[in-house]
Amino acid sequence: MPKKPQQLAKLSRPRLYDALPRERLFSLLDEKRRHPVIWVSGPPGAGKTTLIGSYLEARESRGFWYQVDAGDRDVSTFFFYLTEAARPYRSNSPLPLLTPEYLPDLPGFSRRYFRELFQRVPEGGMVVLDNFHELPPDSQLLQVMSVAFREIPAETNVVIISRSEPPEGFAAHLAAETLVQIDWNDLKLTVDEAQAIAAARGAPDDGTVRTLLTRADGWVAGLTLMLERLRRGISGQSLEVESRETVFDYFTSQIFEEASVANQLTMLKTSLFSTFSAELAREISGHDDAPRLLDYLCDRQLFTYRRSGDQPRYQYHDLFRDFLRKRAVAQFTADELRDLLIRAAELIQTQGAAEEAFALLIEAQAWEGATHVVLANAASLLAQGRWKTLQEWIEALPQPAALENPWLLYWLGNAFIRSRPRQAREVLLPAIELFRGREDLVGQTLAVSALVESVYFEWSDFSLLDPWIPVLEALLHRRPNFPSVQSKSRAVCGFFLAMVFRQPAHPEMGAYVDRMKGLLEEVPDPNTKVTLALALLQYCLFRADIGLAATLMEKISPLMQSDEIAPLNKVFWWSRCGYVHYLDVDYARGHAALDQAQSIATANGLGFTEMLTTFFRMLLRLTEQDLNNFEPLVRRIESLARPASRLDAVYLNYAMGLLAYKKRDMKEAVRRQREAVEVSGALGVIWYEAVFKYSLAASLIELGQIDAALEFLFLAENRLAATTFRVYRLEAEFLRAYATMLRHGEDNMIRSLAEVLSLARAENYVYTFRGHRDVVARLMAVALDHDIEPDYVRGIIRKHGLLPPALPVTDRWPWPVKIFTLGEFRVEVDGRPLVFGRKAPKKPLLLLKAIIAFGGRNIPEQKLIDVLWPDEDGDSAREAFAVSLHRLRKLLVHADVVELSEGLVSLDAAKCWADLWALGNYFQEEDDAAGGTAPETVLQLYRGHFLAEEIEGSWALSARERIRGQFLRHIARAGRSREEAGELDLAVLLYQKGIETDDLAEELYQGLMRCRLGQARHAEAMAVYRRLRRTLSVTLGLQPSAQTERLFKSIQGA
Amino acid sequence: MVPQPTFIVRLFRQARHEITGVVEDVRSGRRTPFANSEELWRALSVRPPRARRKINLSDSE
Repeated sequence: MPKKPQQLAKLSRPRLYDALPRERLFSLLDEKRRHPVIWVSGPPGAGKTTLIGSYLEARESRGFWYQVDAGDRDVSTFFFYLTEAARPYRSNSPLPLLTPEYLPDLPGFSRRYFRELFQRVPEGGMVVLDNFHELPPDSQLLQVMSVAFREIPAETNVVIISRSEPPEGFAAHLAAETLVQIDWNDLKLTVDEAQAIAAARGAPDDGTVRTLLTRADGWVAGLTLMLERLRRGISGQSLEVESRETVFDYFTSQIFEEASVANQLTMLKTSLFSTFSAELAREISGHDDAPRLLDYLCDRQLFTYRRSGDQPRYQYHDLFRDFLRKRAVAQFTADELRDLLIRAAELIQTQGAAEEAFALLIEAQAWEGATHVVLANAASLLAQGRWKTLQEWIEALPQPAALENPWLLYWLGNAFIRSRPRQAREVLLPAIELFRGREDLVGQTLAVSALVESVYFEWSDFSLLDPWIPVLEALLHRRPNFPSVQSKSRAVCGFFLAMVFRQPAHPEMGAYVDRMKGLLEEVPDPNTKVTLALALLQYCLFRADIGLAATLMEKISPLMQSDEIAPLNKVFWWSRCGYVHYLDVDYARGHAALDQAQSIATANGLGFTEMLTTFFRMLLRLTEQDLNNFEPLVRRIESLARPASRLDAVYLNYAMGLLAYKKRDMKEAVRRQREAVEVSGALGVIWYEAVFKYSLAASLIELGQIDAALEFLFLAENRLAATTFRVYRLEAEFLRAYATMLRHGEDNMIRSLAEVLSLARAENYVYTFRGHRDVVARLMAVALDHDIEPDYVRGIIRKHGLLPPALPVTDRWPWPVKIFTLGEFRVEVDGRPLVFGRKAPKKPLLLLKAIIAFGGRNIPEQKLIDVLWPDEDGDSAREAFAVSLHRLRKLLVHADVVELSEGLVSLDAAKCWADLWALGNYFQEEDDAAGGTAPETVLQLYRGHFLAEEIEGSWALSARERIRGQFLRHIARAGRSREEAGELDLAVLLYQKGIETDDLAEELYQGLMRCRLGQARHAEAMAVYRRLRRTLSVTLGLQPSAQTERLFKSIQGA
Repeated sequence: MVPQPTFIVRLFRQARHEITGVVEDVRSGRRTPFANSEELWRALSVRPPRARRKINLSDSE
């Protein structure tokens, strides 16, 4: 709506002509300016506005002038116009509008607003709030100003001009002298001042002035009128009677009667306006000389002011305007007055003063015109956050007639959408009916989409959407001729969200994704663009569509730099980006996005969004296994949850369930997840209804209630069947495979695991429910052992940083760091061997070898120093150790693989694999199983001696010999065991490998000879004997033992 | 400092008055058999090699 001229009048200070400089009061003001707020109070006509206006001129002080009026009852209106007042003083960041999202914390909003506003006040400037008495005593603005007073910087003052004393609410400011007063006693004219005024008006003698001053009791308006009356030679009664208003009217009427009829009519008609231009005065009065009259009144200081601005505007003093309005009522017939009011409204409306036009039309009881003003301005008022003003306007129209106008109902519903969604629906329902009766397709569509929005903003029961989805679909199908792309976006987005939340299997989903994308390109308004993108992003999150999400983020995230985007939209945008990165397992970006969301929320008082950002961050922490930070976030969610909010209850129970699951308290996990499932059922978001069942199923499986778990998996799958969110069925399949493994053993699970992994690979599924990542890790380990989709599985393990399960895991697991020490020394980081150029980092690698040689865990730092830097003295050895440790960590990329805690060095067994440890695990298993394990593993692992190249260090030697001995013992035992089981080929392999390791191990030769004999390969058996005899002879100068000879003989005899 | 030689003694057969095995020099891999304690002592009593002159100190990490 065009508004500039009228706003300028409300926001411009009076331009004064020959106003008396009241130096006495100027000095008083100078003195009071030590205090932030100066409250100037006195009766009407006491010269308050003139005093402050003339003071500002005299001191050349800049700042804002704001005329409070009845419209400021809606505190959003106050902030809106105050922002307009500050517009000439540009700053880096815009002043916010008081939109509904800020209402939960009005003091917080006010604090931030005024901090920003006062930054714009030039140094030594003033903010003047004139006519403060226009506010009702219970106005929210009093609370707002109380906050503002605390934010006033040094060198800046707020001046409040009011007919009344400061209200009780400001008592603390009075006591603290934040607020000081200039009151009626100060304002009363002194003799000198009266004489100066009189001198400017034709100067009666001093005695007369003194008499008039006494009669006026220091009242400027009274003195002015008596001087004017005296000048015109009018006689009459004195001032001592009745109220000042009555006296004012009496004297004014005497002067008014002196004016020509044309001038009288001009004054009466122009009094209908609060402020008016010369042109308006001419138009309403039909009197071409009207501007001359007004200038005369201004120059004579007869209660008429000019206000500064691009176009000067006139304004009557309130007392004078009240007088003229009363005269107008008395002088014109009711019809004449009504016509005049309507005419005035028409004229002022062309200048964009909708509020004033509306008030005039209401006074004229011109309901049709008033309705027109409401409808023409409703959208702008809502955009300015002034929903209360819109509500007041609609309620000012005669009821119930107004409630039969569907558009009025539609806008009333819109006024309530954010703050009172239930009430919004109550007025939107009859609006829809009325539109339907009138066959107004656009009206119906917009009203239904507004109703859908009200359900969305309420976040309490999405099932309310069910009856409206087919209605909105049918309406949109008829292609309404929307008045703008904005309203079209709103309707399409409403339907899209209704499908996403409530009917994800809707056949139109795909088509509407395309429509939304099209609108995203088409719509010019950046906030509407973000709203559309947020809806699409929500859709992506529900179906784990990271590709589309990435495209949206690339397109929309740069817009977030713009001040045009509402802070709440920014918070929602960055929060959802955080969740996308959670899905995409990009923790750093996830945290960065959530940091953005939180800092914008904090800076803008949007504390209610903390639950959302905390919940997403909690998921990130859980996924990245940062359990130290995970639990405090769950506790924060606990403290933030509002008892009445279903959504909060879902978040709370889900988070508590995850915490219990992590702590292996499966009973509590099941209880919480069951609660989350129940509340999400009531919330009616289909996706929630399904996904919380997965988490419940995971906990039930751990609790051993597998049948119940399978039942929930079935229900969850049913909920998402035929939807575009079907990708989550893989989650169910995974849990089902896990349940099978627990119930029927690993072998019975392999087939279903292979099937689900094949599907998952085909769909490039990323696994979204990280609460039960231990289960995923376990299944992945099994998959690797069975060579099922190994590349995909390794990719998933790496992407999610899955830790190997507690059971021994082979080197097929994609460990971040793998260390080979048997046969050759090799380090692999993230699957790639470390390759060194000309110069390998010898010492860091030596350190790594020594750590492995000493067992890899809890090795005293000093022990490593002693063996690696034996010749260095204490400090330099320690320093050398520290340098080598630092270089080693850098080398291994995953710095946390090497831990140093309380003087003990360890390798993190969850992130690092060493062939030596795997061999140790094998030996242990072998001992436990008494030789029943697969011997191939030991052959694969023991490729040669431990760190054979380390010939200098005795630390390597002792480990090497110990492992060699264990290996040979196990080879001998395994060979014998396979021999006895008739597996002679395998036994041969084992004995041969043993002999390669120790060519003097006679027991192994004997075994090999027996096997060859058993295989009827006599020649080879004899060759084994000959090799033994030769080796013993050459190396030791000995003959084979008697037992070997007996065996040889038996071969010969065979 | 002159590095001390490191040996591994591997016992092959051991009876009351007999001890048979090899002494392995870790550095050279050379194996010296022994058939009694005197031979074992002799195998262990080799002179340590001379220390090598360090040529490039910067390579000594």
